[in-house]
Amino acid sequence: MRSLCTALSFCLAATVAMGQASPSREAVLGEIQARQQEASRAAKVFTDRSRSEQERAAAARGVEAFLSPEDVSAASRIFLDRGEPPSLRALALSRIEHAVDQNPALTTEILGLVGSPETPEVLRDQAAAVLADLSFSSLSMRERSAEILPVLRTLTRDRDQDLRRMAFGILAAHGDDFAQQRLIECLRSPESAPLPPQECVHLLGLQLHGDAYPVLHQILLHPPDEATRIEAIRLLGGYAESRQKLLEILNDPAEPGAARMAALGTLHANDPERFAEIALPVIRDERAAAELRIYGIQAVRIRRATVAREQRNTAAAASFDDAVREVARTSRSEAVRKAAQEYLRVLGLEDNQG
Amino acid sequence: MSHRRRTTFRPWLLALLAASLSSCVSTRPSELLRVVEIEVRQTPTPVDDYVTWSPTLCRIRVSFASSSAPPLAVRLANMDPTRGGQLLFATAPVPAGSTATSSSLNLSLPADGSWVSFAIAGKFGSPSLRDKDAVIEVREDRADGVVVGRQALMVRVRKNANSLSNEERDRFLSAVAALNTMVFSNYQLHQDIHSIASSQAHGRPGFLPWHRAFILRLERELQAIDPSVALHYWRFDQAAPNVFHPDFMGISDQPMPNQNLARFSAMNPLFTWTIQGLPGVRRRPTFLPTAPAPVNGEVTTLALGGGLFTGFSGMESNPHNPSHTSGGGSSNWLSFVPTAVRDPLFFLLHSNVDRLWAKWQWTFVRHNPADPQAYSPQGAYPGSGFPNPGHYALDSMWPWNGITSASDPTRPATAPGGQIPASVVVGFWPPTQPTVGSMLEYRGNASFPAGMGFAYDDVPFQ
Repeated sequence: MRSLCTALSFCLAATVAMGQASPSREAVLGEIQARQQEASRAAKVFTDRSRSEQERAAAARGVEAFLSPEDVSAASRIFLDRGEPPSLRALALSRIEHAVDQNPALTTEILGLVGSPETPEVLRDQAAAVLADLSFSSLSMRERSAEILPVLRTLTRDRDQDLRRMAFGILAAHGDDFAQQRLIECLRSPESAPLPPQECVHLLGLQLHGDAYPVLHQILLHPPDEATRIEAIRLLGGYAESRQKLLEILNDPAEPGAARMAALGTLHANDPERFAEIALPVIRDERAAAELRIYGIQAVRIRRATVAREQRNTAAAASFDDAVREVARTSRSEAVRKAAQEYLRVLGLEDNQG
Repeated sequence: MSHRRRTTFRPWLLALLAASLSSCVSTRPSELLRVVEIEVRQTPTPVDDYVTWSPTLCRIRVSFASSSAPPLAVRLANMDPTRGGQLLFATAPVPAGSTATSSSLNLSLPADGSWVSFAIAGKFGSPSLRDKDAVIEVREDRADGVVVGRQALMVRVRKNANSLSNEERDRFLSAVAALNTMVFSNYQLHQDIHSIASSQAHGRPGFLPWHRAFILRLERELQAIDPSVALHYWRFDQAAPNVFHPDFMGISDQPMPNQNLARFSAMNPLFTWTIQGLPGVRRRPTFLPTAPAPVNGEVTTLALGGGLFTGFSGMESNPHNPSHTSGGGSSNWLSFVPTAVRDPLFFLLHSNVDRLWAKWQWTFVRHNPADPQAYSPQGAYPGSGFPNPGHYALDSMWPWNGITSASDPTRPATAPGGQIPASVVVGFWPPTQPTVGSMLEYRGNASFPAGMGFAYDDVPFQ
C-alpha cells in the first residue's frame, strides 16, 4: 500500500510539474449536469411545505444556488411568502441571488425587509447582504434609485450599527451629499454620531469633498483619539492648510510610527514631484523606523524608474541619491540597506557609490 | 559553392552563429554547417515573440541562400521537453477554429533562402515560467542531424495568482506599480473610466464583454512596461493565501479595529501605493486568507442558464458582486463601483470573472457572436427600449467609441482614455473601437488567428 501511495504521489508531482492535462469537455459538462440535478433535488425538498423546517433548511444549505428557472421561481415564492419562517425566507433569498435582478418584486421585498426594523434579524441581515451586493452592479439599483435612496438614508439612523455602516458606505462611495453632510456632522458632534469618529473619517475618504477638509483639519489639531487622527492625516495631504502640520508630524521623532507613516503616505500621494525632498530628512534619520525609511527610498525609486521609462525630464535628485548611497553603506538596519542598494541597482547608480 | 564562398569570406559570422548554438551539439567536420533563421509572427523583432494557446504564424528559412544546394530538411521541436514553456506545431495556414497540436514538425526549406510558413501554439498545461523560456529547436532531419537554429519565445497566459512563482508575482507587481506612477496611460485612467462607466458596463448584458475589453486594455499597458507580464486571476471561490499575503496583494491584519488597510511587506512595490491623493489600499476582506470568498463556486457558475448566455450572465450578481463586497469588506474601495479600481485586486478579480466566461464559452462552444445562445441581445440598438446602447451585439462600446452624452444622452459626459490600444504582439484585435460582439472570439479568427493575445491556464483552445 505504501509503495502504491508513493507511486501515486510521484505521478501527482510529475503531473503538477508538467502542468495540467487538457480537461475533457464531457467531464466538465458531466459535473455541471450533476450540479444541476443536485440543485433540483435540494429545491424539491426545500419548496415542499409538508416537510419540517429543519429538513428544508438542510436541503438548501447543501447547495450554493437553485439553478433551473422553475426552482428559482419556486424559491422566489418562498422568499416572498410572509407566512414562511424567516430563516427559510433568508435561505431562499441567498440561493437565488444570481436571479434577483430579473424579478422586480424581489428587489421591492428586499428593500421593505431591510428598511423595516421589525423584520426578524436573520431575514433582515440576509436581505441587507444581498442589497449590499446589488448596490455594486445591479440594474435595479440604477432603475429604482428613487426608491432605494430613501431606504439607505433612513438606514443611516437605524439602531443596528452594521446597517448604518453599510448604508453610509454605499451612499458615501457614490458621493451622496446627504451622507457626506451627516458624516461631517458626526465629526462636529461626536456624542450623537451614528458611527465612531474614526469610521466617519474613513467613510468621508471614499469620495472626499472639499467641504470636508476644514473639519478634518480640526480633527488633526484636536483629535478625539489617535485612530481618528491617523485616519484624518491620511486624507489631508491635498489640503494646503494641513501641509505644515503634516510635515511636522513626519519629522517629529516623538510622534508614533503610525502617524509618521500616514503623514509620509499622504504627502507622497499628493506631492509626488517633490516627494524626494520631503522624504530626505527621514531617509537620513538612523533613528527613524526602518519601514518609514524604506517607504521613502522605494517610492522615489519607483517614480524615478518610471520617469526614466517615459523619458520625461526630471530634476536631478543628487542630494537624495547621495543620501541613499550613504544609507546603503552605513545604515544599521539591514532592511534599509537592502532597499537602498535596490534603489542604486535599479537606477543604475551602483558604480558611483565611491 | 556559393554557400562555401560566403562562409569563407565571413568567418566571424560563422563563429558567431556557432557560438549562438549549444556548445554540446555535435557537428560534422567534413561539412559546412547550414543555419536557419526563424521569425515568430513573421517579424524579425523579438518584442512580439509571445504566444498563447492560439495559433501563431511563423516563418523559417535557410540563412545563406544557395542556388545549387539541395533543400534542407529540418525538424522543429521543443529544445527541452521537460522544462520551460512548451510549444506545439502545425503547417500553415491553420484552419479557423483550430490550433497547432503536433509536438514536432518536419519541413523542407528551399536552399534559395525563401521563407516557409508554419504555425505554433503554447502547449496547454505547459506555459512559460519566465520570459523566453520556450525554445524552438531546429535540427536537420537526418540520422546524424545537428541543430541548425533556435528561437526563444514565451508561452504567456493568465494564471491562477495563488500559484505564481515569486518571479512572476514580483514582475506583475512591479509593472502595476510602474503603471500607477506614469503620467500618461496610467492606472488612474482606468479608475476614471470605471467610476463613470455605470450603465455602460454594469447591470446589463454587456457586462462581460465590456469588462473583457477593460481588463485587456490594462493588460496591454502592463505588457508595454514588461512584456512577460500577464493579468493573472484571483480564483475567489478558492482559498488564496498567497494572494492575500504581504508579498502580493496584501493582508488585512491591522491590530487597530476598523483600520481597513491592506498591509504590504516593505519591499512589495504596492507598499507605496497611492491613488487619487490617498495612500495605501483600503481593504479588509470578510473572509480569512485561508478561506474562499463566500460566492458561488465555479461549477455552479458554469451551470447558470444551462448553456444560454441570458442565464449565465446572472453571474454578475453572484459570484461577481459578492466577490467585490466580501473582498473589499464593509465600506472599502473594492466594494463600490466608483472606488473599486483604486484597489489593484480589482483586476485579478475581473480576470477571474473573465476566465469563468471563457470557460463557459469553451464548455458550451459559445464563441460565435452571431449565435444568440452565445450572446443576447443580437443585432444593434433599435433606437428605443431596454437595454440601452452599448449592450447589443453589434453596438460599439463606451468609452472606446468616443461617444458622449453630447450626441447620445445614454452615454456619460466624457469618454476618457481613447481607443483600445493595439497590442505589440497581436496588433489591432479587438478593433480599437470594439463592438460587444467582437469581444466574444478572443481566441482568434481568420484575420487575426492569434486572437487578442491572452488565454487562461485552465481554459483550452478547443
